[in-house]
Amino acid sequence: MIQVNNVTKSFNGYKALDNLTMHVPKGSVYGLVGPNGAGKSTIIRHINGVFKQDTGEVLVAGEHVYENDAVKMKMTCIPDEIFYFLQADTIDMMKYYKGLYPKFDEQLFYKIRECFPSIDLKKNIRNLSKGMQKQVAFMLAISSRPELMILDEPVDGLDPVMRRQIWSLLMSDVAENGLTVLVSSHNLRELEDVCDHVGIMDQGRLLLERSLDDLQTSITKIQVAFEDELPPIPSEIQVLRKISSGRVHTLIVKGEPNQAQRVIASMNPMIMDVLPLSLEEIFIYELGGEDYAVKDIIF
Amino acid sequence: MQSKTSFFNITVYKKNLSKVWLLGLAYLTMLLIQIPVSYLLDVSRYSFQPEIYGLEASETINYINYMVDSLSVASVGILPCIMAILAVLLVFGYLFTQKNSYMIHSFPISRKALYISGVAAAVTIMVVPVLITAVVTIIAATATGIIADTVLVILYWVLTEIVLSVLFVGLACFSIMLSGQGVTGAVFYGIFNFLYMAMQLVIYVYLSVVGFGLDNLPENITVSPMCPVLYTSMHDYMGIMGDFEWNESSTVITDYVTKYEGTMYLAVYLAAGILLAFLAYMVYKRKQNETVSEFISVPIVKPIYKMGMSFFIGTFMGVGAVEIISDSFDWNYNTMVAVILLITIICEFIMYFVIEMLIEKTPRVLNADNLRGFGIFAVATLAVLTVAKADVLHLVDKVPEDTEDVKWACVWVDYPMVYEDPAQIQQVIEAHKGVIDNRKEIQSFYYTQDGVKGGYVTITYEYKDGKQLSRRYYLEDETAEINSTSYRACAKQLLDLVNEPEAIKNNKICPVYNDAEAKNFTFNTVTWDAEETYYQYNDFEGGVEGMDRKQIADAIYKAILKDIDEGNVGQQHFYDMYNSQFINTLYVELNTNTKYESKANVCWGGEPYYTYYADTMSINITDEAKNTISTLLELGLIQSEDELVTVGESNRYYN
Repeated sequence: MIQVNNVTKSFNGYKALDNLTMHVPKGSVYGLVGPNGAGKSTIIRHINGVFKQDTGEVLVAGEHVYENDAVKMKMTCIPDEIFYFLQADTIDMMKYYKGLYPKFDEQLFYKIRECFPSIDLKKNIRNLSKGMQKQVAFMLAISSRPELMILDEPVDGLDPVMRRQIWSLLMSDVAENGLTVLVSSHNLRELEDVCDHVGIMDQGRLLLERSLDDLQTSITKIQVAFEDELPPIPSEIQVLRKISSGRVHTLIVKGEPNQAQRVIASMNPMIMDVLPLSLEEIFIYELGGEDYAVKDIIF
Repeated sequence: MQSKTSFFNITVYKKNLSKVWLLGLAYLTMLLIQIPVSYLLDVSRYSFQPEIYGLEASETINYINYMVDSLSVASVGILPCIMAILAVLLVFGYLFTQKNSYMIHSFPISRKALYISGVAAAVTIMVVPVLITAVVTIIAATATGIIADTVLVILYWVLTEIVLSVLFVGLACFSIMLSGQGVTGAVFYGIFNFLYMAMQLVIYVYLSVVGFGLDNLPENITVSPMCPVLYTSMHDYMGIMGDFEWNESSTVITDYVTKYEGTMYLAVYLAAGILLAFLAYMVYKRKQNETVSEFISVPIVKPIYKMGMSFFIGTFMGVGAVEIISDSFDWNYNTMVAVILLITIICEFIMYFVIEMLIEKTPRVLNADNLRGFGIFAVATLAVLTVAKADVLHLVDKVPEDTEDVKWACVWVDYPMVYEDPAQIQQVIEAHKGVIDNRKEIQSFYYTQDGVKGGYVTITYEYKDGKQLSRRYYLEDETAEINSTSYRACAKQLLDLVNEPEAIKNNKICPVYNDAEAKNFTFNTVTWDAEETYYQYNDFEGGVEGMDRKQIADAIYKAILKDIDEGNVGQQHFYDMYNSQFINTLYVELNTNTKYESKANVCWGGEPYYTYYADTMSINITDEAKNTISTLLELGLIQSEDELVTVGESNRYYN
């Protein structure tokens, strides 16, 4: 659905995107993660046609997106800071969206509205709480019947119930209509639940892009305990990090999990547990630590 | 629904209208008050004011006059000018905050459609109030029975307002597209409205100080069509004017003729507005969204703005500072020019880096690259100012090449002397060339404190195509031996021209002075009141035995003519003769029997006019006016010459 090829963008000499290439498959829910300043919002603004790249190309549904109304009609965007017209209420904004998106479904809008009963459609949106403004944004975006939805920090400011409500709505749309979702968030726990693809960005580049399944099976956490000291690990196993606590050692191992398991089992540990890594752990290990210093980049 | 055409979006248009409708309502209210309401109020007061200028006029003429007055007041550029920038700022306000700009540009609508829908809303909100006002005004004109006489006037007003709306909306769009900040965009709009005249002023002010004889150059600046808000705000240039016509005895106004000023500029302004709107679109199309909130959002404009503002403000401040401080120093011309250049460069340096700070949004701009850039700019500035000083345009040397091209020449020392005869014009040109030839010496007069008395002379030529050439020089006493023989000769040549008795009578009295009759006179003696310590003026109200006031006036007039012939009255010098003039007032009222063309106003830009009346002749006589003084004595208007007090003598009392 989205193809970003070798995109570079500089702001006053600072390279915000550095030869970035990424690919979002149609019908996927793609989580874009990265530390602050990685370039997530910048690439999102390229994908929704706000910024024009210095070099490279940004394609949505096979077409260049910048100044392309036809492509933009297929996508909606919910940025981290949402804009509403001064004095506009939800109905005004609905009419505005209806005028811009040919597939806007008014019936759907009122149907979704039932999920957000606390919103007063006649109240000036700017007087609504931040969370309610976000709910309105989702109502409008979903009712526009997009093929692609771009979300930048989408559920910030929403309470847990409302977060679940919104994700549920989106997932239904993905399942029923093949909606593609590109979502940028710092809430990795949440992304883990909804994304099927993940891209990790740092310093304007994509460090890693893979389906979540692949990602979660390419790095393994193995907890082992030996009677004596930890014997030397064979070089065929790539250990990203080793944490020892007494006789118990936690190894973060990159590579095929079964192979790592076999090799370590052959070293006769007293105990051996293979644990899946959370997305948050993968993110931290991929970037080399909690301080986001890129030390152990594996690709 | 999305419009079928890709350049206009009805949803965006409606949304824009919703942002500006209050502004349009305010505009409509102002127009309604200024035109139909004002007109109807005037009509309602008609019964109390049936006359115009004290002359009898019909009801219809009065009503037409009221209508034209109301339309003239409203037909000014300032209101559309303000409305346009407010409307454009409201419509395109999303361009000045990141959140809004990013969101709007992520919607499925092209910049072309956003722009055209925005401009259309801004123009709508300016034109609809004009149309509504026109309809209401036409109804008012119909109701009061003057529609046939005023319908064209009203339609011309509508046309003017529509053109001005397009012009100012185009200019406002262009201005705000150059910046990422609304306030800065509005400032650019203001700058563009006055840019031409501001640049002209700076150039003229600089040349007036460094160029020989050019110090009256700034006075020649007139309101230019390139400054639309000023030009269109002045009724003499644009709008509806009206003239009365009256009967031969000048007792009844018989007709009211309307004139449509500035028609040729309507097409020019319309084209300019459309062009500016197009240029604004081209800028918008290429504008990077990341430049939102930047001082200047178009890269190519940054150096132009930085250098342009630095150059003009720096030069203006350089000249201004020298004008203020030069009196405190005994500088010669070259030193003064050097100080101007030095202060200009210092002011430019300040401006250059202040603007750089605004552009880059950081105070840390004093780096090697910028200093190198300023160095190059400063050298270029010095080169431009030096070349301008060197008179490459030959402004200093310029005199009319052929007397046939000249309509009149005017030499003004104490009062204007106008010459129309080609031979006399040639004499003026020759005398003028003499001044230019002595440029080096004359240029030093103003700066050196040599104790010689001096004053200004202005030489003006009007060419037959209406253009004028005017120069002003500071000249010193033509008899001062400290000055060169060459200078004294050229000064004498100029004074001989203006002190020629026939020329004095032609200019000081009128071209048909021989045909003039003295009708009356005013004269007073003065006596010093020691108690109150002021001069008491005593008007001569009495008569002379065997003579009426006309005969007395005639006798004085003849004496004055004799004094002029003998070189005692009307003589001009390059120094102030004020102290030797009598403080006594002497007016002689004259009439001529033949109509003549008066050029009394042409030297300060007025039109010549035909009259039977010579202006009341106010003669500032000195103690050299022996014929006039002896006539006053003979007629008994004064008993002794002690009753005539010079300014110099009076000052001694006062001091």
